[in-house]
Amino acid sequence: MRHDELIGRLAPVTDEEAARRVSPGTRSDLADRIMSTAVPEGRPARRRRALVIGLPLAGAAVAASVVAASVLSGSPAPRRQTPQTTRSGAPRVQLAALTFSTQGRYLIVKVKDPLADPARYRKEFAAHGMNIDLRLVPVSPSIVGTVVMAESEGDAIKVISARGRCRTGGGGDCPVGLKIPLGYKAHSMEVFGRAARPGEQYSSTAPADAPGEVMHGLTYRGRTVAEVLAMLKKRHVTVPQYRYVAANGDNRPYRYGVPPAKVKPGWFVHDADPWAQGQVMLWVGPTRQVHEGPPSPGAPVPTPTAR
Amino acid sequence: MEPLDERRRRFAEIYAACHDPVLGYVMRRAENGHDAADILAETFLIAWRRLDDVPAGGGARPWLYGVARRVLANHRRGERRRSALGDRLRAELGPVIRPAEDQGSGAVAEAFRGLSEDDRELLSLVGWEGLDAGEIATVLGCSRNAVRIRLHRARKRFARALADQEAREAGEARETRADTHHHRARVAKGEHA
Repeated sequence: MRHDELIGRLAPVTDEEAARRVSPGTRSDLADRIMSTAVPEGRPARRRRALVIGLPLAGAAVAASVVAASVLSGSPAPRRQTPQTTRSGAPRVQLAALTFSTQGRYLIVKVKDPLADPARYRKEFAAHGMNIDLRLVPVSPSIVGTVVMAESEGDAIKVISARGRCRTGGGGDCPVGLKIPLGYKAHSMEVFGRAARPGEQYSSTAPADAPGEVMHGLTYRGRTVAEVLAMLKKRHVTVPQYRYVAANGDNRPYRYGVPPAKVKPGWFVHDADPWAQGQVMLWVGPTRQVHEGPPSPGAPVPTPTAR
Repeated sequence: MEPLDERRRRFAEIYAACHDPVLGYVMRRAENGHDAADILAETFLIAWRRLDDVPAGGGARPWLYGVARRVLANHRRGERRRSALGDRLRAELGPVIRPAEDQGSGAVAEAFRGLSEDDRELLSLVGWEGLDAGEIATVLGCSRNAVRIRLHRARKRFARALADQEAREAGEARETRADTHHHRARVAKGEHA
């Protein structure tokens, strides 16, 4: 087919070209690292479902919009104690951790309490007849309560987005909840962001200068390390980690990060990423680079050939 | 539960067979090498965790594409898994994927670029990954029939867009005889921040 061939030629790289960029050592290293991660226990399914009885469940009566706002407005700090206190307690009255509401043939799910024990989310899903494994990972402040990752077969589960609620790393709209077809039975895993504990490394981050993040409002790209560190100091932000950026993309001297002691004050800052509470990671290097603009929000990000 | 050794053996087999195709898939779609490294690592981590769900034999590759596709979509939404797993790979792939020369000029590229994301992905799965309708069904999690219909429509839309684009370029060449590269306006990062 002529057109398939024409499109084939647009491919930015072939498998062979891609493979040539990875050394055999790195290739086997990744496999080893993956296989050394914990093997998950069996799926949390029926066995636990029996426990659901008697728990207060989120009703459709809860106004989802109000709840979503409470999640997104952010700082859940005063409630940090709750996970510890609830775990040991006997069944007692708990507020729902999730909110469910129906919209046509869909169930809309939002996280109400991003600090609840994950078992509670599973129970609440199970109460709706769903086998959905909802997990929480520590995230940077502006994306607490948002959907960080969705993993399910097919495209049945949709993510609901709210434009402008938060700024995501990929430039898309803020993913605030899930839209699940009623009667959805397949297993899926959904990951939401929760507030990080002090010192805990974020698993997922918004851009460091997004509203609500520690570098919001700072123009730091292309400035020197010394200049950026001075700006950060005023905000009591520290830099525990540096990554090295070489002009030609070859960061071999510092593949696994530059030790802070080796970072020169006159180097340039290329990028920043929230690391943990009050901490950011900086990408630095000896050469100043021209920085492309971030993709405009909502733009279809990577067309394979677009530059 | 199968013993750990058996798991490792099976994973190693899948990894050996599919590492390059999945890397290629990801690199053809990710914004940069760092993202590609994270997405590849995450994709195989999911395969390791869900090993029992990975189809045997030739079904593994499209299944992994399907996982990579979702990881990529998550990534575009803002999820950045920064586990240390991909660190070495990230260093090797570097920040840039594409070589300096712009592969994206010409009527074919313009026509392709103008399609919806869904159409582009379908046509890429055929043109770049060389998949058939059954395999694409595995990637997208839909039926083979649905793939056939969607593919047929996507091809028609591409053909139409290409014809339009060629006609337009011929017209422009007549009018101006100047080079008409279609650059996308982008805001310089410094100005934006």
